Amino acid sequence: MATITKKMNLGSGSVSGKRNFDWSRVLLWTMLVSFPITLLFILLAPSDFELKYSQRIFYFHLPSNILCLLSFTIYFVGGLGYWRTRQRKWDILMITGLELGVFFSLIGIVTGSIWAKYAWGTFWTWDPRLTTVTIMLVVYLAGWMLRSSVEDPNRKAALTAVFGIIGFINVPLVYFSTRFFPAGLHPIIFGANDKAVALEGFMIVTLVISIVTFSQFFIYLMIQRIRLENLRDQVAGVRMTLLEDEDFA
Amino acid sequence: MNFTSLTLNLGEIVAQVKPSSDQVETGFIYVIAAFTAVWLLIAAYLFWLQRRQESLRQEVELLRREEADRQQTSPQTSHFVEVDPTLEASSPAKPTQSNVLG
Repeated sequence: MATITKKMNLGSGSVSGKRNFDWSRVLLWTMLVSFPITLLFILLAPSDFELKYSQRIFYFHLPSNILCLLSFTIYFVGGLGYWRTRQRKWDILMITGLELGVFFSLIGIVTGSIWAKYAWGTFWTWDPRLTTVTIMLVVYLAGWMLRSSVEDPNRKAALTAVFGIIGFINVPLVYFSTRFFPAGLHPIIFGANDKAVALEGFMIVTLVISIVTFSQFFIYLMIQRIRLENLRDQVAGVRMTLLEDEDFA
Repeated sequence: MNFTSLTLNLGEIVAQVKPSSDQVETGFIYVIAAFTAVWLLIAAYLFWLQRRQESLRQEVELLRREEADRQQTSPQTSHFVEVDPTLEASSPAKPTQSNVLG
């Protein structure tokens, strides 16, 4: 049970009686201010000449996709950490990254599809970016399902780590898909060349604010997800104590 | 009126509202649709996360109570019974009764 005792301490997630400073509460209050401000900026931002009002979807489509790639990178880091040390804290990081990655990629796909209906006239097309994102999502969902099917915690963590390390190859593929296949429908957002999308000053400010707000939400979800795993460890710990008591009796 | 019928009625009302051609042309309706989808996904995930946390918290509490009950009812089953070594020595030795007169 040595692995169970090594946990990430993130505030009031435990029921052990110890009360720590709750960062998620601070984030929650900050988000109550930042979300309306972001919404205001999105409403006030100038519309694109071609995409008109629909261009505002970009302000929550792009941040969710950035956070999706960040989550899978965290999953990859967790996988490497677990592979080297076999510590439970890396397993917690892996499952957190995996779950949040799937969640943010779903937001990205749904908002992208709605926007595509207006911009391209269809909800879905096999554009290189969409194809690579779909492959990435399927790979990670398969990893998640495999994890859920295994009972042994060590085997479960080892399998998740393997998926995290091998599946990470999708992340740079998704990011560079617009550069590798420039004939696709997705534009290049970041870059200094003439192919990159040119955003106005106010648009850039709105985008930055939106990314900051989504990042706050991402950190909040990370804390909550880590707490969930800590609670699972507590359940396993108390169960183990009860079983030991039974054996002793 | 229960929650399901209320949701269905609300859905019917929403379905009857047709967006104007201007709203469709400028993409306003798509922004609203995307925004609603984002919030629905966020709410669903938060609800799922909260429910899982709550069920685990309850399980921990239940197991802790069970553990405490077990310790109260059978204290001899605890792993380490601390024995005071001075207890036996300090207690007055019982005089052995050698005969009836003592």
